[in-house]
Amino acid sequence: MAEDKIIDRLGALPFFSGLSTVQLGTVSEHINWLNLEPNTTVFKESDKGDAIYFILEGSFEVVIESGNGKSIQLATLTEGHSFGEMSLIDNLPRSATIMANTKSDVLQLKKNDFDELLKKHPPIGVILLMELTDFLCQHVREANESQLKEPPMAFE
Amino acid sequence: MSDEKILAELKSFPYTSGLDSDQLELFSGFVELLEYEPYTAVFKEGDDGDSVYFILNGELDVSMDSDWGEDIKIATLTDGSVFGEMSLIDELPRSASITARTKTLVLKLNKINFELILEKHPAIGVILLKGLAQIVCQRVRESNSSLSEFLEPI
Repeated sequence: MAEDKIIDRLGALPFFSGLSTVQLGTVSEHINWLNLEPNTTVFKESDKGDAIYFILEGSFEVVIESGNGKSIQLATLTEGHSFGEMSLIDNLPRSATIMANTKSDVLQLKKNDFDELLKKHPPIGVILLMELTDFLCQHVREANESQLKEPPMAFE
Repeated sequence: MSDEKILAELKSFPYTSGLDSDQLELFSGFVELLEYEPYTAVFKEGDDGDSVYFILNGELDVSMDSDWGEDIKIATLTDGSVFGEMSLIDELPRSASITARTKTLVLKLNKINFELILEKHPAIGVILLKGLAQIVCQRVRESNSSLSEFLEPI
């Protein structure tokens, strides 16, 4: 895949929108463009996390295993969404399984490459880490709010 | 507390221990040492605020107002913990109230100084931000386990 095409697609993603063209060029050297067939599992719940993914095209199911061994479909992710964010920050296992529903295109940034970017290009690291942390803050705030909407129910 | 003592504290602090001694010295020039008496509020839920706090010594309560009017105590923070990181990053109002339980010593880093560090000393910025991102990740994972019906980052 041509590198300038990766740069264009990267620059359009909110996660990378704070980077200059030169910085986008640097990041693009560490990005893999993957074409996925329908029903491809990108990663499984409890796998070791090693990359973040940005959806360019296609749709993905987010699935978790319930306690009794059944799969629960949590959500569908489409173009513009990302998944696997936390693997760049902590070394804990994946919290869900991700599977492509359709033929899909994603950009992949591996943790090793992310760490190298932070080390070799701290100004880029600062911008990406701010975006990532801001994204995670949003989820904590949403979870906080929903948790305090109704009094806790007593179990019967 | 003397400057040397602050430096020594920062050296063993989980989120700044990745800094080398030159970086620690630079960083310590950007923070302010504050002391709180027992039962005093550091900030209240809904306040505007843009500083992050590193607890050197003491205990603080985290509480939130529920929609049913009750003030819910969520956690107690002690030495080595960090709070206020979300408003520093997203500039939204405080999501919880923080009240000192005991006499408490904290280091405060405000937004202006934080941005100065990111701009002038990005290598320090990366280490600090990684620490803050880890704290927020941990909060996401905690809410994942208590709120499985909500889709959270994975």
